[in-house]
Amino acid sequence: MPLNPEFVENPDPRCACVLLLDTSGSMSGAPIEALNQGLKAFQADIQEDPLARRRLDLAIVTFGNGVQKIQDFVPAGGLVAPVLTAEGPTPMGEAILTGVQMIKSRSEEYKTHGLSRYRPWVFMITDGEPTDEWRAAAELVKAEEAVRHLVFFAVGVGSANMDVLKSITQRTLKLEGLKFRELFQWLSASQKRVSASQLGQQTALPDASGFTAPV
Amino acid sequence: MLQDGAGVWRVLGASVKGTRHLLRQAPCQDAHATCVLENGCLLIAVADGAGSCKRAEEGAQCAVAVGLQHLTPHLRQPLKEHECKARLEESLQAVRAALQEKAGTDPVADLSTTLLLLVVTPDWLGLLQVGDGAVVGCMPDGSLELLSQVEADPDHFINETIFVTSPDCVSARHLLVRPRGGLAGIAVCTDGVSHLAIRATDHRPYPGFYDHLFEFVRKMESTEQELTDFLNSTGVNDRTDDDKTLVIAALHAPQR
Repeated sequence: MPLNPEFVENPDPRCACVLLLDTSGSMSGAPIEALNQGLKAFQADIQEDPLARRRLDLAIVTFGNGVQKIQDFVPAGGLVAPVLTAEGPTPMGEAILTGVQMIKSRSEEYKTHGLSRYRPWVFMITDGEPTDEWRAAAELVKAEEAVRHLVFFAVGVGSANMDVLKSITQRTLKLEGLKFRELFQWLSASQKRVSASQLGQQTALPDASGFTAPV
Repeated sequence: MLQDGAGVWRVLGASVKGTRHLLRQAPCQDAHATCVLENGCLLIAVADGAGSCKRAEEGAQCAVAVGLQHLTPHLRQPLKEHECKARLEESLQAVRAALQEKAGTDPVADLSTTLLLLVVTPDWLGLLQVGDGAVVGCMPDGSLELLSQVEADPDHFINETIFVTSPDCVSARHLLVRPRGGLAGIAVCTDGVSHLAIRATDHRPYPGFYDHLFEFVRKMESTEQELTDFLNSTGVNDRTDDDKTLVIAALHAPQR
Protein backbone atom coordinates (compact mmCIF):
# COMPACT_ATOMS: atom_id res chain seq x y z
CA MET A 1 0.00 0.00 0.00
CA PRO A 2 1.58 3.30 -1.07
CA LEU A 3 2.35 5.71 1.70
CA ASN A 4 0.72 9.00 0.80
CA PRO A 5 -1.17 10.39 3.72
CA GLU A 6 -2.85 13.77 3.52
CA PHE A 7 -1.19 16.80 5.00
CA VAL A 8 -2.90 19.24 7.29
CA GLU A 9 -3.15 22.67 5.67
CA ASN A 10 -1.30 24.87 8.11
CA PRO A 11 -0.52 28.44 7.13
CA ASP A 12 3.17 29.03 6.50
CA PRO A 13 5.20 30.43 9.35
CA ARG A 14 6.39 33.95 8.55
CA CYS A 15 9.62 35.87 8.75
CA ALA A 16 9.37 39.65 8.46
CA CYS A 17 12.44 41.35 7.04
CA VAL A 18 12.96 45.09 6.48
CA LEU A 19 15.76 46.31 4.21
CA LEU A 20 16.96 49.80 5.18
CA LEU A 21 18.87 51.21 2.22
CA ASP A 22 21.06 54.34 2.13
CA THR A 23 20.20 56.40 -0.95
CA SER A 24 22.07 59.54 0.14
CA GLY A 25 23.97 61.68 -2.38
CA SER A 26 27.28 59.90 -1.73
CA MET A 27 25.76 56.69 -3.09
CA SER A 28 25.24 58.19 -6.55
CA GLY A 29 27.02 56.72 -9.53
CA ALA A 30 28.66 53.32 -9.21
CA PRO A 31 27.43 52.51 -5.67
CA ILE A 32 23.69 52.94 -6.37
CA GLU A 33 24.08 51.09 -9.71
CA ALA A 34 25.71 48.20 -7.91
CA LEU A 35 23.03 48.26 -5.19
CA ASN A 36 20.28 48.14 -7.83
CA GLN A 37 21.95 45.18 -9.51
CA GLY A 38 22.29 43.47 -6.16
CA LEU A 39 18.59 43.93 -5.48
CA LYS A 40 17.66 42.39 -8.83
CA ALA A 41 19.89 39.40 -8.13
CA PHE A 42 18.35 39.08 -4.68
CA GLN A 43 14.84 38.99 -6.12
CA ALA A 44 15.79 36.33 -8.66
CA ASP A 45 17.59 34.20 -6.11
CA ILE A 46 15.03 34.31 -3.33
CA GLN A 47 12.21 33.60 -5.74
CA GLU A 48 13.82 30.29 -6.72
CA ASP A 49 13.02 28.92 -3.28
CA PRO A 50 9.36 27.89 -2.92
CA LEU A 51 9.47 28.08 0.87
CA ALA A 52 11.15 31.50 1.01
CA ARG A 53 8.65 32.83 -1.55
CA ARG A 54 5.84 32.08 0.84
CA ARG A 55 7.44 32.52 4.23
CA LEU A 56 9.62 35.61 3.88
CA ASP A 57 7.75 38.95 4.08
CA LEU A 58 9.91 41.75 2.73
CA ALA A 59 9.68 45.52 3.12
CA ILE A 60 12.07 48.20 1.82
CA VAL A 61 12.77 51.61 3.35
CA THR A 62 15.20 54.08 1.78
CA PHE A 63 16.90 56.99 3.51
CA GLY A 64 18.35 59.92 1.59
CA ASN A 65 16.03 62.76 0.80
CA GLY A 66 13.81 61.80 3.68
CA VAL A 67 12.83 58.33 4.83
CA GLN A 68 10.54 56.52 2.40
CA LYS A 69 8.72 53.22 2.74
CA ILE A 70 9.05 52.29 -0.90
CA GLN A 71 7.84 48.72 -0.36
CA ASP A 72 5.46 47.69 2.37
CA PHE A 73 5.55 44.04 3.43
CA VAL A 74 5.05 41.67 0.53
CA PRO A 75 5.74 37.94 0.36
CA ALA A 76 9.11 37.43 -1.30
CA GLY A 77 7.33 35.75 -4.20
CA GLY A 78 5.71 39.10 -5.04
CA LEU A 79 8.79 41.30 -4.68
CA VAL A 80 9.75 43.51 -7.60
CA ALA A 81 13.24 44.92 -7.05
CA PRO A 82 13.06 48.73 -7.02
CA VAL A 83 15.40 50.92 -9.09
CA LEU A 84 16.83 53.44 -6.67
CA THR A 85 18.34 56.90 -7.24
CA ALA A 86 20.65 58.66 -4.83
CA GLU A 87 20.51 62.16 -3.41
CA GLY A 88 20.23 64.00 -0.12
CA PRO A 89 21.58 63.55 3.42
CA THR A 90 21.61 60.42 5.56
CA PRO A 91 18.65 60.35 8.03
CA MET A 92 19.70 56.96 9.39
CA GLY A 93 18.24 57.49 12.88
CA GLU A 94 14.77 58.09 11.52
CA ALA A 95 15.11 55.15 9.11
CA ILE A 96 16.02 52.79 11.94
CA LEU A 97 13.06 53.94 14.03
CA THR A 98 10.77 53.41 11.03
CA GLY A 99 12.13 49.94 10.35
CA VAL A 100 11.84 48.79 13.94
CA GLN A 101 8.29 50.11 14.18
CA MET A 102 7.33 48.27 11.00
CA ILE A 103 8.69 45.03 12.45
CA LYS A 104 6.81 45.50 15.72
CA SER A 105 3.50 46.17 13.94
CA ARG A 106 4.00 43.22 11.63
CA SER A 107 4.78 40.90 14.55
CA GLU A 108 1.56 41.96 16.26
CA GLU A 109 -0.39 41.29 13.08
CA TYR A 110 1.06 37.80 12.83
CA LYS A 111 0.11 37.13 16.44
CA THR A 112 -3.42 38.43 15.90
CA HIS A 113 -3.82 36.04 12.99
CA GLY A 114 -2.32 33.13 14.90
CA LEU A 115 0.61 32.73 12.50
CA SER A 116 3.83 31.03 13.60
CA ARG A 117 6.83 33.34 13.30
CA TYR A 118 10.57 33.27 12.82
CA ARG A 119 12.57 36.00 14.56
CA PRO A 120 12.34 39.07 12.27
CA TRP A 121 15.30 40.80 10.60
CA VAL A 122 16.29 44.38 9.93
CA PHE A 123 19.06 44.60 7.34
CA MET A 124 20.66 48.04 6.89
CA ILE A 125 23.14 49.12 4.22
CA THR A 126 24.89 52.49 4.42
CA ASP A 127 27.96 54.18 2.97
CA GLY A 128 28.19 57.05 5.42
CA GLU A 129 27.16 58.17 8.85
CA PRO A 130 23.91 59.59 10.16
CA THR A 131 23.16 63.25 9.54
CA ASP A 132 20.29 63.15 12.02
CA GLU A 133 19.87 62.26 15.68
CA TRP A 134 20.53 58.51 15.87
CA ARG A 135 21.44 57.54 19.44
CA ALA A 136 17.86 56.95 20.53
CA ALA A 137 17.44 54.65 17.54
CA ALA A 138 20.62 52.77 18.50
CA GLU A 139 19.32 52.30 22.06
CA LEU A 140 16.02 51.01 20.70
CA VAL A 141 17.78 48.43 18.52
CA LYS A 142 19.89 47.27 21.44
CA ALA A 143 16.82 46.98 23.66
CA GLU A 144 14.85 45.01 21.04
CA GLU A 145 17.79 42.69 20.38
CA ALA A 146 18.30 42.17 24.11
CA VAL A 147 14.77 40.79 24.45
CA ARG A 148 15.25 38.86 21.22
CA HIS A 149 12.45 40.62 19.36
CA LEU A 150 14.50 41.03 16.22
CA VAL A 151 17.90 40.55 14.61
CA PHE A 152 19.62 43.72 13.25
CA PHE A 153 22.40 43.59 10.67
CA ALA A 154 24.36 46.67 9.61
CA VAL A 155 26.48 46.58 6.46
CA GLY A 156 28.95 49.38 5.82
CA VAL A 157 29.97 50.27 2.26
CA GLY A 158 32.80 52.53 1.10
CA SER A 159 33.61 55.13 3.75
CA ALA A 160 30.82 54.13 6.11
CA ASN A 161 31.45 54.96 9.75
CA MET A 162 31.79 51.45 11.18
CA ASP A 163 32.06 52.79 14.75
CA VAL A 164 28.57 54.20 14.51
CA LEU A 165 27.31 50.89 13.15
CA LYS A 166 29.00 48.96 15.93
CA SER A 167 27.25 51.11 18.51
CA ILE A 168 23.92 50.14 16.96
CA THR A 169 24.42 46.38 16.72
CA GLN A 170 27.05 43.67 17.16
CA ARG A 171 26.17 42.22 13.78
CA THR A 172 28.17 44.41 11.42
CA LEU A 173 29.79 43.64 8.09
CA LYS A 174 32.08 45.81 5.98
CA LEU A 175 31.42 45.27 2.30
CA GLU A 176 34.46 44.82 0.11
CA GLY A 177 34.26 47.26 -2.77
CA LEU A 178 30.79 47.24 -4.25
CA LYS A 179 30.11 43.51 -3.97
CA PHE A 180 26.39 44.01 -3.51
CA ARG A 181 25.54 41.02 -5.63
CA GLU A 182 27.49 38.72 -3.33
CA LEU A 183 26.00 40.45 -0.29
CA PHE A 184 22.48 39.87 -1.53
CA GLN A 185 23.24 36.27 -2.46
CA TRP A 186 24.42 35.83 1.11
CA LEU A 187 21.27 37.48 2.42
CA SER A 188 19.14 35.25 0.23
CA ALA A 189 21.01 32.13 1.38
CA SER A 190 20.65 33.26 4.98
CA GLN A 191 16.95 33.86 4.53
CA LYS A 192 16.55 30.43 2.98
CA ARG A 193 18.00 29.09 6.20
CA VAL A 194 15.78 31.28 8.28
CA SER A 195 14.31 28.22 9.92
CA ALA A 196 17.67 27.19 11.36
CA SER A 197 17.60 27.38 15.12
CA GLN A 198 19.09 30.35 16.82
CA LEU A 199 19.69 32.17 13.59
CA GLY A 200 21.78 35.24 14.21
CA GLN A 201 24.78 33.51 15.64
CA GLN A 202 27.63 33.64 13.20
CA THR A 203 27.84 29.86 12.97
CA ALA A 204 24.35 29.70 11.54
CA LEU A 205 25.03 31.94 8.55
CA PRO A 206 26.80 31.25 5.30
CA ASP A 207 30.41 32.33 4.95
CA ALA A 208 30.67 36.06 4.32
CA SER A 209 34.42 36.26 3.87
CA GLY A 210 34.24 36.38 0.09
CA PHE A 211 32.77 39.84 -0.04
CA THR A 212 33.51 41.45 3.31
CA ALA A 213 36.61 43.22 4.52
CA PRO A 214 37.86 42.76 8.07
CA VAL A 215 36.51 45.50 10.32
CA MET B 1 7.69 -12.20 20.76
CA LEU B 2 5.36 -12.59 23.69
CA GLN B 3 1.89 -11.14 23.50
CA ASP B 4 1.28 -7.72 24.93
CA GLY B 5 -2.37 -7.81 25.81
CA ALA B 6 -4.08 -6.97 22.55
CA GLY B 7 -1.19 -7.68 20.22
CA VAL B 8 2.44 -7.18 19.39
CA TRP B 9 4.17 -3.86 18.70
CA ARG B 10 5.49 -3.26 15.22
CA VAL B 11 7.70 -0.17 14.83
CA LEU B 12 9.03 1.56 11.74
CA GLY B 13 11.18 4.67 11.83
CA ALA B 14 13.13 6.92 9.49
CA SER B 15 15.27 10.05 9.83
CA VAL B 16 15.89 11.97 6.62
CA LYS B 17 18.00 15.02 5.84
CA GLY B 18 16.05 18.18 5.06
CA THR B 19 16.45 20.09 1.79
CA ARG B 20 17.92 23.08 3.63
CA HIS B 21 20.64 20.82 4.91
CA LEU B 22 21.20 19.41 1.46
CA LEU B 23 22.00 22.94 0.24
CA ARG B 24 24.47 23.31 3.05
CA GLN B 25 25.93 19.81 2.72
CA ALA B 26 25.37 19.37 6.41
CA PRO B 27 24.55 15.92 7.75
CA CYS B 28 21.09 14.98 8.95
CA GLN B 29 20.86 16.29 12.48
CA ASP B 30 17.83 14.22 13.47
CA ALA B 31 18.23 10.80 15.11
CA HIS B 32 15.94 8.09 16.41
CA ALA B 33 16.16 4.72 18.17
CA THR B 34 13.53 2.12 19.05
CA CYS B 35 13.29 -1.10 21.02
CA VAL B 36 10.57 -3.67 21.58
CA LEU B 37 11.30 -5.95 24.53
CA GLU B 38 10.30 -9.58 24.92
CA ASN B 39 7.81 -8.61 27.59
CA GLY B 40 6.09 -6.35 25.07
CA CYS B 41 7.44 -3.02 26.31
CA LEU B 42 8.05 -0.39 23.64
CA LEU B 43 10.73 2.29 23.79
CA ILE B 44 11.15 5.15 21.32
CA ALA B 45 13.72 7.97 21.38
CA VAL B 46 13.75 10.86 18.91
CA ALA B 47 16.14 13.83 18.84
CA ASP B 48 16.48 16.96 16.67
CA GLY B 49 19.96 18.49 16.70
CA ALA B 50 20.13 22.28 16.60
CA GLY B 51 20.72 23.51 13.06
CA SER B 52 23.28 26.13 13.99
CA CYS B 53 25.41 23.89 16.22
CA LYS B 54 28.60 22.34 14.88
CA ARG B 55 28.22 18.90 16.43
CA ALA B 56 24.46 18.73 16.62
CA GLU B 57 24.22 15.39 14.79
CA GLU B 58 26.54 13.84 17.40
CA GLY B 59 24.36 15.34 20.12
CA ALA B 60 21.18 13.89 18.64
CA GLN B 61 22.70 10.42 18.11
CA CYS B 62 24.19 10.37 21.60
CA ALA B 63 20.91 11.49 23.18
CA VAL B 64 18.81 8.70 21.63
CA ALA B 65 21.42 6.00 22.26
CA VAL B 66 22.07 6.93 25.89
CA GLY B 67 18.37 7.54 26.58
CA LEU B 68 17.42 4.07 25.40
CA GLN B 69 20.46 2.41 26.96
CA HIS B 70 19.53 3.86 30.31
CA LEU B 71 15.85 2.96 30.17
CA THR B 72 15.90 -0.53 28.64
CA PRO B 73 17.19 -2.57 31.62
CA HIS B 74 14.60 -1.01 33.93
CA LEU B 75 11.73 -2.01 31.69
CA ARG B 76 12.44 -5.72 31.89
CA GLN B 77 10.42 -5.89 35.11
CA PRO B 78 7.06 -4.31 35.95
CA LEU B 79 7.27 -0.68 37.08
CA LYS B 80 5.04 1.39 39.30
CA GLU B 81 4.02 4.88 38.16
CA HIS B 82 6.52 6.71 40.38
CA GLU B 83 9.29 4.37 39.24
CA CYS B 84 8.49 5.09 35.63
CA LYS B 85 8.76 8.84 36.30
CA ALA B 86 12.01 8.41 38.20
CA ARG B 87 13.62 6.30 35.45
CA LEU B 88 12.67 8.89 32.82
CA GLU B 89 14.10 11.76 34.88
CA GLU B 90 17.30 9.79 35.47
CA SER B 91 17.65 9.03 31.80
CA LEU B 92 17.56 12.77 31.06
CA GLN B 93 20.39 13.26 33.56
CA ALA B 94 22.30 10.40 31.95
CA VAL B 95 21.91 12.02 28.53
CA ARG B 96 23.09 15.40 29.86
CA ALA B 97 26.13 13.79 31.44
CA ALA B 98 26.92 11.85 28.27
CA LEU B 99 26.72 14.98 26.13
CA GLN B 100 29.02 16.81 28.51
CA GLU B 101 31.54 14.00 28.24
CA LYS B 102 31.25 13.78 24.48
CA ALA B 103 31.78 17.53 24.15
CA GLY B 104 35.28 17.18 25.58
CA THR B 105 37.02 20.53 25.21
CA ASP B 106 34.24 21.99 23.04
CA PRO B 107 31.33 23.80 24.72
CA VAL B 108 28.48 21.35 25.34
CA ALA B 109 26.21 23.78 23.48
CA ASP B 110 27.85 22.58 20.25
CA LEU B 111 25.93 19.33 20.69
CA SER B 112 22.54 20.99 21.34
CA THR B 113 19.57 18.77 20.66
CA THR B 114 15.94 18.27 21.60
CA LEU B 115 14.83 14.90 23.00
CA LEU B 116 11.63 12.87 23.13
CA LEU B 117 11.76 9.67 25.23
CA LEU B 118 8.73 7.42 25.18
CA VAL B 119 8.03 4.16 26.99
CA VAL B 120 4.91 2.01 26.74
CA THR B 121 4.63 -0.81 29.30
CA PRO B 122 1.60 -3.07 29.77
CA ASP B 123 0.38 -0.61 32.42
CA TRP B 124 1.89 2.79 31.71
CA LEU B 125 2.59 5.31 29.02
CA GLY B 126 5.57 7.49 29.91
CA LEU B 127 6.89 10.50 28.01
CA LEU B 128 9.75 12.86 28.72
CA GLN B 129 10.14 15.80 26.34
CA VAL B 130 12.71 18.58 26.01
CA GLY B 131 12.06 20.94 23.09
CA ASP B 132 9.67 20.57 20.21
CA GLY B 133 8.36 17.62 18.22
CA ALA B 134 5.07 15.76 18.50
CA VAL B 135 3.83 12.50 20.05
CA VAL B 136 0.39 11.28 19.00
CA GLY B 137 -1.38 8.29 20.55
CA CYS B 138 -4.03 6.17 18.85
CA MET B 139 -6.70 4.29 20.78
CA PRO B 140 -8.41 1.07 19.65
CA ASP B 141 -11.43 3.09 18.42
CA GLY B 142 -9.10 5.07 16.16
CA SER B 143 -9.28 8.30 18.14
CA LEU B 144 -6.09 10.37 18.19
CA GLU B 145 -4.61 12.32 21.06
CA LEU B 146 -1.67 14.73 21.20
CA LEU B 147 0.48 13.61 24.13
CA SER B 148 3.41 15.99 23.73
CA GLN B 149 3.48 19.54 25.10
CA VAL B 150 2.23 22.51 23.18
CA GLU B 151 4.15 25.81 23.07
CA ALA B 152 2.19 28.20 25.26
CA ASP B 153 4.26 31.36 24.82
CA PRO B 154 2.66 33.68 22.25
CA ASP B 155 6.01 35.39 21.67
CA HIS B 156 7.75 32.14 20.81
CA PHE B 157 9.66 31.99 17.51
CA ILE B 158 9.48 28.63 15.80
CA ASN B 159 13.17 28.56 15.01
CA GLU B 160 14.05 28.74 18.69
CA THR B 161 13.47 25.95 21.15
CA ILE B 162 14.86 24.53 24.35
CA PHE B 163 17.59 21.90 24.24
CA VAL B 164 18.88 19.15 26.50
CA THR B 165 22.04 21.24 26.86
CA SER B 166 20.14 24.41 27.92
CA PRO B 167 20.64 25.55 31.51
CA ASP B 168 16.87 25.48 32.17
CA CYS B 169 16.37 22.09 30.53
CA VAL B 170 15.46 20.28 33.73
CA SER B 171 12.87 22.81 34.87
CA ALA B 172 11.42 23.15 31.37
CA ARG B 173 11.15 19.44 30.60
CA HIS B 174 7.70 17.97 30.07
CA LEU B 175 7.04 14.69 31.92
CA LEU B 176 3.89 12.63 31.52
CA VAL B 177 3.19 9.19 33.03
CA ARG B 178 -0.32 7.88 32.91
CA PRO B 179 -2.21 4.59 32.61
CA ARG B 180 -1.74 3.05 29.21
CA GLY B 181 -5.46 2.73 28.80
CA GLY B 182 -5.51 0.41 25.81
CA LEU B 183 -3.21 2.55 23.65
CA ALA B 184 -2.91 0.77 20.30
CA GLY B 185 -0.65 3.06 18.32
CA ILE B 186 1.90 5.81 18.85
CA ALA B 187 3.71 8.15 16.47
CA VAL B 188 6.68 10.38 17.28
CA CYS B 189 8.05 13.03 14.95
CA THR B 190 10.37 16.02 14.90
CA ASP B 191 9.02 19.47 14.12
CA GLY B 192 9.83 19.20 10.42
CA VAL B 193 6.97 16.68 10.22
CA SER B 194 4.63 18.01 12.90
CA HIS B 195 3.97 21.09 10.74
CA LEU B 196 2.36 18.70 8.24
CA ALA B 197 0.47 16.60 10.74
CA ILE B 198 -0.80 18.72 13.61
CA ARG B 199 -3.28 21.52 13.01
CA ALA B 200 -1.70 24.77 14.20
CA THR B 201 -4.96 26.46 15.25
CA ASP B 202 -6.06 23.91 17.85
CA HIS B 203 -3.12 21.47 18.01
CA ARG B 204 -5.24 18.57 16.88
CA PRO B 205 -3.55 15.62 15.17
CA TYR B 206 -4.81 15.46 11.62
CA PRO B 207 -6.61 12.16 11.01
CA GLY B 208 -5.91 12.28 7.26
CA PHE B 209 -2.22 11.99 8.13
CA TYR B 210 -2.14 9.66 11.11
CA ASP B 211 -4.86 7.14 10.21
CA HIS B 212 -3.00 6.36 7.01
CA LEU B 213 0.32 5.94 8.84
CA PHE B 214 -1.01 3.64 11.53
CA GLU B 215 -2.70 1.49 8.88
CA PHE B 216 0.59 1.41 6.97
CA VAL B 217 2.64 0.12 9.88
CA ARG B 218 0.09 -2.54 10.78
CA LYS B 219 0.67 -4.19 7.42
CA MET B 220 3.55 -6.67 7.73
CA GLU B 221 4.79 -6.00 4.20
CA SER B 222 5.35 -2.27 4.75
CA THR B 223 9.00 -1.26 4.97
CA GLU B 224 11.18 1.49 6.41
CA GLN B 225 12.34 2.25 2.88
CA GLU B 226 8.79 3.24 2.00
CA LEU B 227 8.73 5.48 5.05
CA THR B 228 12.07 7.01 4.03
CA ASP B 229 10.81 7.54 0.48
CA PHE B 230 7.74 9.28 1.82
CA LEU B 231 9.84 11.66 3.92
CA ASN B 232 11.91 12.42 0.81
CA SER B 233 8.86 13.04 -1.36
CA THR B 234 7.99 16.32 -3.08
CA GLY B 235 4.80 16.64 -1.08
CA VAL B 236 6.79 16.73 2.13
CA ASN B 237 9.69 18.84 0.83
CA ASP B 238 7.33 21.46 -0.58
CA ARG B 239 6.13 22.06 2.94
CA THR B 240 9.29 21.83 5.01
CA ASP B 241 13.04 22.13 4.45
CA ASP B 242 13.87 20.84 7.92
CA ASP B 243 15.28 17.41 8.81
CA LYS B 244 12.45 14.91 9.23
CA THR B 245 12.02 12.02 11.63
CA LEU B 246 8.92 9.87 11.88
CA VAL B 247 8.60 6.77 14.07
CA ILE B 248 5.30 4.91 14.04
CA ALA B 249 4.33 1.97 16.22
CA ALA B 250 1.11 0.00 16.13
CA LEU B 251 -0.21 -3.13 17.76
CA HIS B 252 -1.06 -5.87 15.35
CA ALA B 253 -2.53 -9.30 15.84
CA PRO B 254 0.28 -11.84 16.39
CA GLN B 255 0.82 -14.28 13.54
CA ARG B 256 -0.33 -17.82 14.20
